[in-house]
Amino acid sequence: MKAAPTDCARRLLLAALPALCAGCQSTSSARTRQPPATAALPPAAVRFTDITQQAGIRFRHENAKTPVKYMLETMGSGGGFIDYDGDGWHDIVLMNGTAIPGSKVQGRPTLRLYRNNHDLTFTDVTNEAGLAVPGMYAMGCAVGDYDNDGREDLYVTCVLGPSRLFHNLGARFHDVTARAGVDNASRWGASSAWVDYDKDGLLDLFVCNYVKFKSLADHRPCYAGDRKPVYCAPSAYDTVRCTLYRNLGGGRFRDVTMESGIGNSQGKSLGVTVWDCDDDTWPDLFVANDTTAGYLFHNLGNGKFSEIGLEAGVAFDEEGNAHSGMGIDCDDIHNDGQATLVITNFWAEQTSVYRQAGPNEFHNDQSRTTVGPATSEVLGFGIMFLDFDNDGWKDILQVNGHVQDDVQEREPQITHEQQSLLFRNMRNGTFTEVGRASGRPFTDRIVGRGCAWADVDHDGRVDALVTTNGGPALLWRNETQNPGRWLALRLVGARSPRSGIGALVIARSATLRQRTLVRSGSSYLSASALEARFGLGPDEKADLEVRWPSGTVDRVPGVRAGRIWTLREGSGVVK
Amino acid sequence: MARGKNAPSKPPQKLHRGLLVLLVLAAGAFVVLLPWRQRMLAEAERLERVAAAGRAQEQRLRSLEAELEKARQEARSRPDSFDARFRLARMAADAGLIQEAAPHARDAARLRPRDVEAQLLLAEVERRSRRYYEAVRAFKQALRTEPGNPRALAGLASLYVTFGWPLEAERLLEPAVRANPDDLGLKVALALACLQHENYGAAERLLQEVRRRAPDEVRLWSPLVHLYNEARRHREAAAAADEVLAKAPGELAVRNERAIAQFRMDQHAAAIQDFKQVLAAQPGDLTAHYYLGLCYERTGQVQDAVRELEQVHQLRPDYLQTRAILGRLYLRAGREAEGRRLLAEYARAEARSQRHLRVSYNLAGKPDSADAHWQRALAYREAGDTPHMILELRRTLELDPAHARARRLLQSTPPAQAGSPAASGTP
Repeated sequence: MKAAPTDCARRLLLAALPALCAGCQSTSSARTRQPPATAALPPAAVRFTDITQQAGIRFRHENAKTPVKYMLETMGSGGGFIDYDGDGWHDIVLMNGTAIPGSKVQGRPTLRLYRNNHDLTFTDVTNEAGLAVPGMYAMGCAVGDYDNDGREDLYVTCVLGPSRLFHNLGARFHDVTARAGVDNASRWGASSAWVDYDKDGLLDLFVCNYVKFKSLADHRPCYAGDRKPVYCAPSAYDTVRCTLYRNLGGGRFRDVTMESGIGNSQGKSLGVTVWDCDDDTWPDLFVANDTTAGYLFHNLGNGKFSEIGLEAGVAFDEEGNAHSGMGIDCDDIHNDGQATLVITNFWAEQTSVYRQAGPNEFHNDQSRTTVGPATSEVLGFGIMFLDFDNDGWKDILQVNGHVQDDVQEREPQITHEQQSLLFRNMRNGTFTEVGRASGRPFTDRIVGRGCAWADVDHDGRVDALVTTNGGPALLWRNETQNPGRWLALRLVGARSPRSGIGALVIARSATLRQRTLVRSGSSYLSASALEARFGLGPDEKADLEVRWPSGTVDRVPGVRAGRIWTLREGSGVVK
Repeated sequence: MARGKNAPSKPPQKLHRGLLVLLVLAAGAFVVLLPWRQRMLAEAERLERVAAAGRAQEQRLRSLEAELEKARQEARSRPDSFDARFRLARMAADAGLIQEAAPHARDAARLRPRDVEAQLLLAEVERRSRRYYEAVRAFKQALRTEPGNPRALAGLASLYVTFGWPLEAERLLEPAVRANPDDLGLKVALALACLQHENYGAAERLLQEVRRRAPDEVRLWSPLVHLYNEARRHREAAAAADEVLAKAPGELAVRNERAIAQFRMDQHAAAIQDFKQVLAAQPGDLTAHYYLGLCYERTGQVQDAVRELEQVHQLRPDYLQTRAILGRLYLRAGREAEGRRLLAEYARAEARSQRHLRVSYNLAGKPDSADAHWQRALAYREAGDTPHMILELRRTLELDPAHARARRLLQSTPPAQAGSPAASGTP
């Protein structure tokens, strides 16, 4: 009896299908972005080469391993790009650990600064620059000109002691932590970001704090099933608040963690990225938390934030579990005006991908993009969007490495050192992993932690700095053949922060409409170049629009490809 | 003439047109109503499944009741008979009447303290009564009588695993496995302890050995499927589950695991089919409801997802993740107030859960620390879980008899209510 109406229904439905499909077609073609003209170009042959040795970068991260296995030994460290001498070329700064009881550390490790010699070589200038500060167990860094003097300053997050602010006096740094009041109360600082959250033209400072661990006395012993000590999972420790410092001007900051609402949430924060999620011009903050719900601090525009990660759909994974969030990035990678957020996760948990569906609303997109399944067998840390072939569609680089150095003894199929991944944006909402065919950096295994981008040789192709735990820092030169055209824009703020942080840059070319936000933070413990870069594919020029945090809008038509341009706020011309 | 010839055919044409319009309207209405009708049919089928399962259960209970009545009479007529007490306790426990079984099981164990079967039955009854410390004691008593008893070893170890004491379980089982290398059940129990410790490599080695030695004993090594899912090796989980289900299609836990693997591999149609099959056999299976809800959410069937997750939330309101997912779904469905309420609850509960997780994690690594057990007891008190709190307090006092705060808290706590069986298929 039940079969008859069902069959009948099926026949009627089939009869109605052509009419229904006609409607569907228009909807689907509206939804599916047609590949632009650039899609006709053959994909560039992607190639990265490890030039660390020839570049003269002889850095080895000292994680101060001990038999006790303090958790901090396995979490660092980061590094980044900074133009410390203002010559327009990206220099490199690398974070480092220090001796701790029980470790066998030789010498006095400090963070290192390498000056770019403009010929793909670098010179260690740490001592001259005043950064050879012993006794810091550094984790990550953020670069920004907090006093608008035209020189990039450096904030270094630390564990087991105060984090540090180094004021750039002109190729030489001075530790101004105490005067500025930004020591982070010796919490375990992780990633950090400069952000002008109140749009007063002064960069404020946001610091992720990981877990309650101020001294080695806070250590808790953790064991594997075989009773060997292992590095603890974050579950062993209490949650903590992130820190927000408001820049008062005159080189002083005030801790506004509680009054801003940031302090209402407690988690285990490792990564932060800045984006304006509701186009209200106020910068919001995404925070990757390790085993606690992720944050989206929505900037209310009155000096306060509201944590809306749950409502926005970015707080947990598809099964309702908190991420093991490490690295994070956000950008308009589909060139459709909507943001995509990525968060790296623990082994087998896959990198989370969220696509914006509306103001402050995100949907999980990790399966559809294929990034999720392709990251099943790695433990991800640093992640960043970068357009490695300059086709106008941002790709993804992710570095990986397990936290347990002896994991293979217990789980033979898992390695401590892991391959890095490179995803090509297929321009249709999906990605393809192309690392294995892109050179040794992606076939060699490393204990990856941080990663940052910059074009170190001004050849238009964006290069990568990768940091490892207890190993070398790596500089991967982008040698992709036949990339698309490009342009880069460096911003000089007048009423807005001088380093351009917080400016939204829109590039319209013949075949593409792109946008990005100049910002500090993102990835894991790392600092990428403070500039807006656009791959233009075959297009020879682009119209640029810069929306400054101050509200000033600069429009510059017909900017030619192939150069790094500088735009001063309010001038309307590029140089 | 032509007009005249054509004239008679006019009314049928009108009729055809009218019929056609009606047909199109009907088809349109049908298409509009189809999803609603499908949902109604699905709901009707689900209710029918629930009713059928209820009827079968009722029938089983009736026949058990008759035998049980006989056992009750026997126990009444022979109050000092071990056999009568034991039989009644066994039958009542099998019938799920734990409160009735408990005093008889205790009497039987008291009458013959060296009877291993009596101690094992007592352990089971105490566990199901949520008197965990007493369950441990009964298992230990059985092991004192017969140190290598594999059921006692496996039972006690699995209890330790459920307490989150995997090192205790491993400590108990490792020598037993060495002493009884051919006891596959012990190997499986040890594997489960390793699994809880996330020592996947050791657990896999043990389960693979069991699989190799007893390939047809699929139920024995089926935890391998769970292990692969836990280790996020979903392809292997699905393949192992296929093998188990080919020989034991009624293994619902394995079917759930396979469906979870399929869900995680984006094979939603297959996963939905498996979850529905589980629910047909076991309508109250929360794992199946939960993941079926997630499958529906992933495939955009928001209302179906809401229905499934609401069931889970109703039956297990303490399950944190449901609030998060359901709250989001409510928001998407425009049920703002409900959504925000659930998400706020989630946020509050998550903070508590973090604290609990921390003490549990620390305890797992330090099973002999009185303070670690005391902290866990406090976490259970905060969560309102009195039976587990009592267990942890007693363990604290076992390790540190001078722990005054633990003693005070234990003395001020009324005994845990017996006979509150946990919901089946905890997600």
